[in-house]
Amino acid sequence: MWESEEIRAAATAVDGVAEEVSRVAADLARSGDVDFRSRAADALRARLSDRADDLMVARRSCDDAAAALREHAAAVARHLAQLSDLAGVGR
Amino acid sequence: MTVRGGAGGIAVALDDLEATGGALLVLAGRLLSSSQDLLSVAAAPVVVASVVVAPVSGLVAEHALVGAAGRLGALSAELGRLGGQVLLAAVVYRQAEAATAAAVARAQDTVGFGVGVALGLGWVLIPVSVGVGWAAGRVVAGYDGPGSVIIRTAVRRAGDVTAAAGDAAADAPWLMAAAAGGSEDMVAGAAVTGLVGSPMGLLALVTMGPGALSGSREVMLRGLLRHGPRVGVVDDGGGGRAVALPAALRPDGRAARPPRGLGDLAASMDDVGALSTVPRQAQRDPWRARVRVSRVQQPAGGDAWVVVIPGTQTWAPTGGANPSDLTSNLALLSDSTASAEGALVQAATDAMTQAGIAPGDPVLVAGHSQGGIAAAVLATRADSPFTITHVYTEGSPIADLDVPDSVSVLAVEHSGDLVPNLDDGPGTNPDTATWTTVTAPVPTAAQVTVPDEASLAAPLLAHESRKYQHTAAALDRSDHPSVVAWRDSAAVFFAGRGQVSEYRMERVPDE
Repeated sequence: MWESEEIRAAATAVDGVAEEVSRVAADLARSGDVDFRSRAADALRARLSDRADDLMVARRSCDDAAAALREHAAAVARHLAQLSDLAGVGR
Repeated sequence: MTVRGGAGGIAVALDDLEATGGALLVLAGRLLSSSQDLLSVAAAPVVVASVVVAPVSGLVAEHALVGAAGRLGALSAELGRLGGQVLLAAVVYRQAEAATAAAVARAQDTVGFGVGVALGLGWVLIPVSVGVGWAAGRVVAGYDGPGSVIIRTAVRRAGDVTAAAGDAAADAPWLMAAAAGGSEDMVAGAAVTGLVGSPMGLLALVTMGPGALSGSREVMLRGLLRHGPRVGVVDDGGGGRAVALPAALRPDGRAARPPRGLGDLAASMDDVGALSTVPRQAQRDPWRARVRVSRVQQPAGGDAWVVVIPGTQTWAPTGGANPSDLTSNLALLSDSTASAEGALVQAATDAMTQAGIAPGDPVLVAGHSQGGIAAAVLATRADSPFTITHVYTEGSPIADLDVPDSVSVLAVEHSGDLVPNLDDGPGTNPDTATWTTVTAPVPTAAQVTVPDEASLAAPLLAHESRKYQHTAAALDRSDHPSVVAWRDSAAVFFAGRGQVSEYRMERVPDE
């Protein structure tokens, strides 16, 4: 069963990546606080806001990947258990 | 009213932009690292090998990991590109601003040189034309023959043209401001005419030496200070000192308390400096040459200090008892490193020492015109025994002074006032986080009236400290971020109670 444990550890690592992406999104939102009044600055603020939205979508992708890994870990555990049972019956 | 520099200025905004560009590059790097972390998980042997055990869920997980990694990688590239563009924009903006300033300076130099040549030649042509005109007038006045009406009309028209030229100069302050900004080249232009015998040009050549042809203010003024004393002019002589005012002459009323805002401060500057608002008798009073020092007690203990230095009070070209004169003016302007500080700064320093300003106490130094130059010079001194944190000037040419970033400068200039443009011209004060320049229209007679207002030429009216007082009061109400930030940083000077003392400044040259 060690494989599924390692896969769950990998999912935890992906959780960490998702947290980091959230922090990047927050930092990105703060970096848009530019006291510069011009059309170009307004456009920059809009682009930064869009990228912050994109990052939140990316964060959900990371969450999805972590969830997929956990499901995979569970599937691996199930399959290995079935294989183990089959091996026991065979003996 | 326009505000340049300070906390809300372009330089700070560009600093912000550069910081944003740098931050975006850092964020791009963090996202790239996160993307690589996801790819490492996707490529981990245990994950790859497990796909054989559970192919469907394994491929779903791999697909999710690679998809998320790709999304982060694309965002990393986007933020990196955006950061690079922002950094590039800030650099281009700075370069464009520098190029514009250089072009304006070249234009000013050209205008200044042309005006100088015209002035130099005018010195020759004016007496000639006046003489011819006088003779023609005599002839015309006594002539009553055929065509006399036409001749008289022609003479009158010539007078109209001359008057129109004067009006044009008044109506085109930009031309005068540009000439003031190119003042070095104006002198150089006049000096060139000395080579063909113009008295004004010869005067420039004699007093300033070959420096008059250089077009460099420092070389010119150094020449003037070196050669001038040989012909009996512009010898500052140093020896400035302060004498505490006797009790009977101490300020009373509003002047007896420290200023509570910029309007109050400007009123204080007007008290000690404005000669147009006092009778001529008082102008000759030796006690008029005063520096005012306000000790502002802080609610939490300790003191802050406000020092007010008067502007030029006498235009005598030789150093007399009053150190606030033309000679100290030139000494202050001659060397931006302030090594030749002159009697005015010496006297102000003496007054500050006698007032008991402690080395660590925050000090605001303020001055109108020459007083403002002296204030900024005091702030440039690396060996100063005082902690000057703020400088406030009205109508002072201080752009060339190397005021350190530890000092917050608020420079107020009236459009049409030529004096603050005697440095490098309009718009040349540094645009930094700690240097705010306010350019304001001259208050109208309806807003504030000065004595003899109707007879004063527009540039003189624009330089009046009473007019600046009105503008300063308006700054107390300004919500511009740079002005608000300066006021907030200077709150210690305006909030507390305290005492005001005054010192007579005098020049006692060393034997």
